[in-house]
Amino acid sequence: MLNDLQTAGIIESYAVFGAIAQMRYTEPVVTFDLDVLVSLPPADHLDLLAGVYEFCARQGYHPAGEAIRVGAWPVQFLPVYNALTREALEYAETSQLEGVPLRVVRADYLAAIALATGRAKDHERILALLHSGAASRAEVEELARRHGLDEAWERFRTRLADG
Amino acid sequence: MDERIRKLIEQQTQWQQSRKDLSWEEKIRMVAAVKDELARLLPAYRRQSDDTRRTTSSGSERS
Repeated sequence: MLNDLQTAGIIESYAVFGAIAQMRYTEPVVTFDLDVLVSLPPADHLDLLAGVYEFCARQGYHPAGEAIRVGAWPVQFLPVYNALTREALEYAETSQLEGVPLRVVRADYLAAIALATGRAKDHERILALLHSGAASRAEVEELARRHGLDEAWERFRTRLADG
Repeated sequence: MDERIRKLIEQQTQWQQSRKDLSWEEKIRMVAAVKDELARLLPAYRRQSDDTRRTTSSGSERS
């Protein structure tokens, strides 16, 4: 469905992020939804995701709360909202899921987005990604520096990574 | 170290490693299965805690 959305021009690009993306590198983690970062063509209305919802409804996928239910998974679309998420989308990798190519946010960007979000579970995600070796401290620190997250990185580093 | 504890730690380490060794697809399937199981169990759990609350509150009314 994600590739179809792109082919139809409803979205310019997409990449899976959040817990499902994290699991490419770490142990499985319990999650209840699939998060997808999207870039959208310029729109003249405020409801940025209207086209996505309409397309999905035509395919038989309907809204469930803030998500769209696709099979067993509520899929939550999040338009890119800053330079970091735009870059994460740009540098996403293509992986295969059940024979279908799927774009997925890279480990270092997953960690940097988690750093920006900053909840306890996001800090756990950063630790898991660093521990897996998929993202290095230097890479995350560099992203943090370039995207104005130096303080968040310093807090994380002193409280958790060096603890 | 207590033999039972040592065995449990060993099993935990093996379990952790086996989870890590799954492919991405397998991990997603595993999480989907856990999610389905939780969805199945939660209504029963909620019913059970509602029953407990009702019993507790009617008990405190009596006392």
